[in-house]
Amino acid sequence: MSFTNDLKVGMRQFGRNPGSMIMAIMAFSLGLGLVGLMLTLVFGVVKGHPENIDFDEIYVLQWDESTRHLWKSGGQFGFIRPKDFRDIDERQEVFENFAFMRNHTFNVVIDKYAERFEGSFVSHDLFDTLGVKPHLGSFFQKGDDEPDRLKKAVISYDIWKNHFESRETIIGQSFNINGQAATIIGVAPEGFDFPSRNDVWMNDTTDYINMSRIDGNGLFVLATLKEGQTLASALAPMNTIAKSMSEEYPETNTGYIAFEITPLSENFIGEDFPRMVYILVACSLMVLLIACTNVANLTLSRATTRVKELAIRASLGGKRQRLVFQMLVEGLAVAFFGGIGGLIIAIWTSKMIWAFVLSASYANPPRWMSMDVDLTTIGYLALITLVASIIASIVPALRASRTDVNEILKDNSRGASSLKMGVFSKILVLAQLSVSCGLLIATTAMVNGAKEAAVFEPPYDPSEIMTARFDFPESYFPGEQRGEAIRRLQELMELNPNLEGVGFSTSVDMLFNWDSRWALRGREAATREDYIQARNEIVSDNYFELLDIPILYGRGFEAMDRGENAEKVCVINEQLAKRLWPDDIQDAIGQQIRDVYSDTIPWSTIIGIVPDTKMAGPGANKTDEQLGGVYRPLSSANDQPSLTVFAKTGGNPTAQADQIRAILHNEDESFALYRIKTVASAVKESQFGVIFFRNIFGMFGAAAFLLASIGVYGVMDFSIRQKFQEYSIRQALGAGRQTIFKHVFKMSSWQIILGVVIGSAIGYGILGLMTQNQMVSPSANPAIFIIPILLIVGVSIAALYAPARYVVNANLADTLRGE
Amino acid sequence: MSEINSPLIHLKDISKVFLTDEIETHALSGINLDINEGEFLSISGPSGCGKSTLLSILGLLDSPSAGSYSLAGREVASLNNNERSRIRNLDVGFIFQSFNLIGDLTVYENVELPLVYRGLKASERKTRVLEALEKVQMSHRQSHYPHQLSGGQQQRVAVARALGGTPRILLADEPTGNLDSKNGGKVMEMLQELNKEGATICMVTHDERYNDMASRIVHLFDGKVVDETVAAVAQA
Repeated sequence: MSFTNDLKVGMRQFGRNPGSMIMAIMAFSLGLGLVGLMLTLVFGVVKGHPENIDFDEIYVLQWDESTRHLWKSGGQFGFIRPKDFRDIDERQEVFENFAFMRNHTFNVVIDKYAERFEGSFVSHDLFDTLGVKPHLGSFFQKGDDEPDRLKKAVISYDIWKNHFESRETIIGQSFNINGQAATIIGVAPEGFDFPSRNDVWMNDTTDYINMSRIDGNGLFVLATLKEGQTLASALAPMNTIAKSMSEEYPETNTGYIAFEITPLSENFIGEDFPRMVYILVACSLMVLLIACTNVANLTLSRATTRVKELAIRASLGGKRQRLVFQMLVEGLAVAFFGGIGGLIIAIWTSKMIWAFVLSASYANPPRWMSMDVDLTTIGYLALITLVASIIASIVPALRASRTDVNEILKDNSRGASSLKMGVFSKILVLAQLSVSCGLLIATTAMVNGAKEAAVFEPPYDPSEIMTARFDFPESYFPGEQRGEAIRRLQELMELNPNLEGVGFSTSVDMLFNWDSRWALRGREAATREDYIQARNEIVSDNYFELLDIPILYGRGFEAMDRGENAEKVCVINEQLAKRLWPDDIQDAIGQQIRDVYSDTIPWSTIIGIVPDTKMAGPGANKTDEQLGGVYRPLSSANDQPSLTVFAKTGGNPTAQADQIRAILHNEDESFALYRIKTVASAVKESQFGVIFFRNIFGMFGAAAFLLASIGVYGVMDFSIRQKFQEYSIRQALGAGRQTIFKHVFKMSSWQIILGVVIGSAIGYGILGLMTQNQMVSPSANPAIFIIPILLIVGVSIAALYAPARYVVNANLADTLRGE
Repeated sequence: MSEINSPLIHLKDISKVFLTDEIETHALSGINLDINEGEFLSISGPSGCGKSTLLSILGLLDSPSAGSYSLAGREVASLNNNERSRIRNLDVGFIFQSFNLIGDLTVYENVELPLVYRGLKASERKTRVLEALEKVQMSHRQSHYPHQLSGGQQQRVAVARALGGTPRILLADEPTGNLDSKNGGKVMEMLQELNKEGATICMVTHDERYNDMASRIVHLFDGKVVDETVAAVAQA
């Protein structure tokens, strides 16, 4: 009953102070909206998983990276090689299901043209391990992954619906997939695209038995525990297996003595993204804190005008806790509307951000992921709203209810001055200044970092170069056959009169290249890790000419370097030359280097040096850029599963792509051309992660700055008005306007200085956490501190000026008489 | 600099009009008043007659709507804010009904404040502050804060603050209004003593008992001077 009455009184406050209430609701809405947005990211992305897969019951098995220094052979980021998988599967007794998958792309010929889909080669029991049932047909059977078995494929519900018109007769039909006939045996359930955006899953019939232990791509191993087993109980016997294999196969397995077994729920999203999201969650809570301080200040301002009302209530027998409760209920009413506003903001911003994520080819989230505002998000938001309303109301309520009733009731003039909130107001100002300063520093760092990361200034115009990628069908075996095909395609494209300047590269989107360890003939290293690290790119002989990259010393690749039996040569960039021959980079010419990751790659003679090129891609950190890189001729690409083809566009990338696609189709109908874009747009897309976090930080920074500007003005105004009488006395005693202004600024200067110092520390802390993260690299430019500090100081001075002006223009006679 | 025999304060046709919601309220109309150096003037009258408004104008806390106000021979009615502040600091000492001490400052600091605004050296300030506190017998409380003092003590500190700057005139607005009769009496005795020592005092009070302590009483009614009485004490 009393709650209802208190609520009624609270609602009446809306009518009496509409401006103040609307401000409070807006502040809450903004703060809660950003928290709601982050909750959608936490529950939809970080903690989310598809409905039909239990991410907590499925485990991912990898080599323990902490023992990496002991590994004799190069590890593939801890992924288990096929031969090891077979051995472990035979020996282990703790897992019920023990399955693997490895990512691959599949060119499926539908109506004579190949469509490229993301997919995986999988072991026969993958679907059982995941606990998924087919929508149509069946999944793989035991034995399907033996080398002599037929190629089978499971397709996604999306392909079935969009490419095969949901025909049930598709089951049992044979299609050309990656140049080989494969039978579609099943359709996965709706929404299933495990692990991410997969549309085709094929049985892996690779002959692993006759493969050497070191060969084959690393596998993504998934397992479910036998009943009665736990993660802890499983680890010891699994490590025993690792150790015994290490002893049995010292050539390849030395050092591989422990496993890392993690639930899929932890492994799936990795560590960097959740860390970044939790930093953002902390930042959103900081914005909410600023909003709370704004609301607290507004509540405080209202409380000063209601001191008499509260005193009357107290004189009529209202207990202190009752009065506090009443103010809390009023605060709750404001928070309720703020919560609704926050929910609307969360829905709107999450939709906007998710649309951005889906538009970026580099993001490629699984289909089950979303940033929808679901019931969990709403529940947490409601709880946070409740807590925020208490935070914003409790101190003003306690202070307002603690005044001397007798003093107030007997003195009509004392209303506004009876409530002493000096320390609390100062804390409010300090909190707002420091938190907003910290967030602004993080925002500026992200904005600057994004700007720096997008710097990509190749000698050519990236908007004039088209890049596209194609994969070799399985029928094009690595080696001579694939090398022949490359030479044939190159000649066909060069001869095509409609194509102007076409080249090849192994670089993804003409931006990213892989790392290799390089041996320099005559300089031996003790272990593989001790060899020099540099980027590795295979390019066609017209690459440097087409991309306007000058040859500084020696020569570039020529037609004579194309042949299978031509002398093995390479070109290095200036950065690498300086690392290896710091005295005179020209000494590099004629020297020989070799990629140590593969014994089959022969020594190559350095024939030329080109200027530094961003072989690590735009946004790479400085250390990465300084590695330098090696270019090898296209004749070295005969083991590559995919190649990038680039062309001068003449303003129309699609036209070039059509010509190239036609040439590829004539070569083999199972070729598919994908990732078609200009290099300029690839650069933009590659910055997805930085732009994503920059945008969110931008929202936080803008919200924090807006709220803090209003809030600091409000608190300063309130603080100065609290000292209104004092300033009038000072003026009566002879203080001039300038003296009062000086006094006001001096009085608040410590708050501003301390706020900026604490804010800088907060900003520094956030930057520290962000730099630990591989996903983004905030700028280290001093401007990221200077600009926010100047903004905060500027806003504070502006916030002080208006109330100070009001004070000096007040009627002294009235004030001193207490009127 | 005032001329010989000319009054310290000379008001001519002073009026003050307040405009509230487009309604004009005449707080003061055609006030002509001289206050001589060394005089103890009391302004009396019923509530709302304009006493405090007149005192505010005298103390340059407010400006007249019309008329001329000369203080020590200088026209001050239309000075700018900074000049008014300077005159308040140098020539006027205030004693308010509600004491108007600054709660965050000690007794010493409160008394020192106008001297700080005057730009005096610390040593000179100290001498003056201690002298003023000695005069009102509050030296022993110089480190206290106002809230640690009784009303009477606070008003004595306010008197010390007004005296510290050795102003030409002390303006006292209901100085006993917030005090009990015992403390009120003490403060009035103090003012009388100061007047005897040569201080010029202009006081607004409701209390008939204290009117008699002044050398001249000006009666206001509806913003006009309706009567002037030379007090018995002065005649004697």
